[in-house]
Amino acid sequence: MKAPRSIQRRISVVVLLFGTVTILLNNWRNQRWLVERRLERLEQEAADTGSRLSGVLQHLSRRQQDRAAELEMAYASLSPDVELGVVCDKSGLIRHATQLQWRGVHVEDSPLAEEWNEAVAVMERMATSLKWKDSKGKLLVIAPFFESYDVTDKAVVMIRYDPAASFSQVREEAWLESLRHGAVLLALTLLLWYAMDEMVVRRVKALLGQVSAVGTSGRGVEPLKGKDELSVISREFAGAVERLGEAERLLLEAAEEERRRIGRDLHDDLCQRLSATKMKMEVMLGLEEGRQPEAASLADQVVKELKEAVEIARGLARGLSPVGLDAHGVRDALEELARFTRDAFQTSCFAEGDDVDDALDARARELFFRVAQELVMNACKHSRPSVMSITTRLEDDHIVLSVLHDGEPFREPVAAGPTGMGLHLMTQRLRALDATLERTLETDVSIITVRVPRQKKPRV
Amino acid sequence: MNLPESRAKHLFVPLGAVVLLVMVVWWPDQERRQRLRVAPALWPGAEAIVLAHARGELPADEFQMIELPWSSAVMRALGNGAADVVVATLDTVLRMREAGQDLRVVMVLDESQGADVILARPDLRDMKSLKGAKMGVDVRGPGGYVLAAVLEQAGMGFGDVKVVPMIQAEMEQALADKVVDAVACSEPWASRLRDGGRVREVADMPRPEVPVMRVMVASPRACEEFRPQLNALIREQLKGARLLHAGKTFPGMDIVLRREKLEAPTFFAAVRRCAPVDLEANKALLAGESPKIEELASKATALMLRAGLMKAGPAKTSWLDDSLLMEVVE
Repeated sequence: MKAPRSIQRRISVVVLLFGTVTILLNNWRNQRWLVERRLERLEQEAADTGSRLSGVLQHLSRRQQDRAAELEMAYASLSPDVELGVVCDKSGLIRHATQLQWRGVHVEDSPLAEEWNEAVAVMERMATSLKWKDSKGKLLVIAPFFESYDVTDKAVVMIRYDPAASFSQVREEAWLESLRHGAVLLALTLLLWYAMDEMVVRRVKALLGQVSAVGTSGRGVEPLKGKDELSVISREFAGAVERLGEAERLLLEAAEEERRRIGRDLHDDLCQRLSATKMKMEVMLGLEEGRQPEAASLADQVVKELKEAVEIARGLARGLSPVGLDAHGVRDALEELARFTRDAFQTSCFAEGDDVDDALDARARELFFRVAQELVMNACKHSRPSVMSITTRLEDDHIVLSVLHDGEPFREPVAAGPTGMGLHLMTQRLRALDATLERTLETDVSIITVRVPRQKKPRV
Repeated sequence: MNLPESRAKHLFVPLGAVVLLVMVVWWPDQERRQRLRVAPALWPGAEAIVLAHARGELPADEFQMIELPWSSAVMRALGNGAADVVVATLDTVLRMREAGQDLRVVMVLDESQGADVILARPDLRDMKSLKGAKMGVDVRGPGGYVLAAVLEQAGMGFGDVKVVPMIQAEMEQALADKVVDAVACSEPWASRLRDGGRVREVADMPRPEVPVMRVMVASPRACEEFRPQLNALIREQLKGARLLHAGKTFPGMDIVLRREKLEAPTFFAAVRRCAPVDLEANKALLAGESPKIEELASKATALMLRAGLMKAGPAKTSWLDDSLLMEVVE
């Protein structure tokens, strides 16, 4: 049997178990109490009946009113617990009985034969006896009386009670009472289950959903309403997520700013210096060409290397600080990216589409371009396409960036590494843009679609 | 209000709990289980009931026998609620109805054919000799009705005899002590008196026009609450009557003989004086739109009114219940 997993079920089962044990214990106590009470009552009834009958029968016998005595004994059988009652004289002859068949029979021939010796002893003592027989199975009362005014003329009333049916009923009553308690317990457990479901389980599930949404989409969800502990946790969590997002955005901005600065420094300082050095080397090449052919050849090599260094430095500067993004917009930057891709990776790449500059602020334009740049670079490095297109499209609420290529389909990296870092940065940028990314494959063409919410409404 | 399906399903949980709680609140308290209390009286035809109880066919956990020694005590037990079912004579039932007792006759046990008689000193040979005689009669039992019927048919009335009220158990002693000259008595006392040899049946005693009938009478509450037990009781009475009238010894006969205080031949002779009424005859008597017993009851009432045993007759209320007979399968 499986143990219940959820806290809700565990608590419900524990309550049910505790309740059941309590009910069973109560049933046991109740049965004992009811049986004992029934025993007490029966003993009281037997003692009362014995003494009453002995008194009445003494009176009736002395007046020889046998019919009245007969009727008295007959009415003694009205008690549901009376098994047999007889009135015997001192010789053991049954004068009256609750069952008419025993009248005139000797008591030793009746079902009360075993009790006769005790009745004889009672007649000697002339004191009523009340005893349980057969280990509390049957109760026997023997009450003596004088049949006439002669003190030797003794008789006894003997009544045997069999309370088995009464005890059985008492036990049945106790079980029915326990059944009633069980029904109440079951109802309360169901209500407890429902209350826990409403007040705890559903809210915890909503909280888990909130955490899960942050983990998968990076977006926060509406915190729980209310003033209980779960609502407080939910609100605190939502606040932490918001603060974390803000910190991430600031971090991204700082990183971009640093990239731009390094790019500018590379372009404005290093590239200028390298260009100036290259020009000086070209002058030196012109001066030495006629005089020292060996030195001129060396100077020519230096000029060529300086030219390559300038190109590399400019390329780095472009990568770190896209040329014209602020001045010429995203479309030009994407065209520049396509041109770079054609040159660098020998891939037939082109960029086209709507002008998205008006739908994004400066920060978002840069993030948007960086996302496109990462997607293109990743595709070129890992998928090795021969054809690639970068398109932008404006929709009512979104800007859609699509990168299509015919290279190998994208596979999730197995472990974090340089590629993983690139993806991680792209995820951060997407989160900062509140954007979604979708990869699909249609007839060997990989389609990567990024949807960014518009930050500015389209002009009417 | 639109609730998601799972939410709507969850609502069944508290609803179920509430239904359970309501059930517990409205759960009736268990009434102390009672047994059907049967007082069969001392009558040979009713020994079938005692026999069935002794043999366990009417189990002790469902039936409680209250053995009352004479008929007036039996009727009083029914009247005060000490017994649920009794065996009584039709005339007694009619008188109890006149007194306002609500009861139901559920079956007819038998018809007396010489089981209710006038027994007199041997020197009182015929009805005429009873004139002025002291008659011992259980006026609250069937004796009153028998005496009235016999006297009327002989052209006499209660005024022609001196009625001495007594119960049947006292009659033997009363005759021996010459307190009375004759008695109106029933079995088994009639057989005991005959066996004693000090009395004999009046030679020209006419039979009553409406014979003395022993009927099983139940309280209306018993008819509602103890139907299975009453069905069993009727079934065992019908079965036992066949056994008793077979004239052969049967298991438990010693019990019956001790109760009746008769020897076996005398007992069988006494039994032959009560003609049993089988199931079909019972239905003919009790069932239908105008049950035959109504006609017999009217005649018996008229007789008792004439004899002064009744003053106004019973009110026209329901007193027959044939539904139990209809349910009996032998």
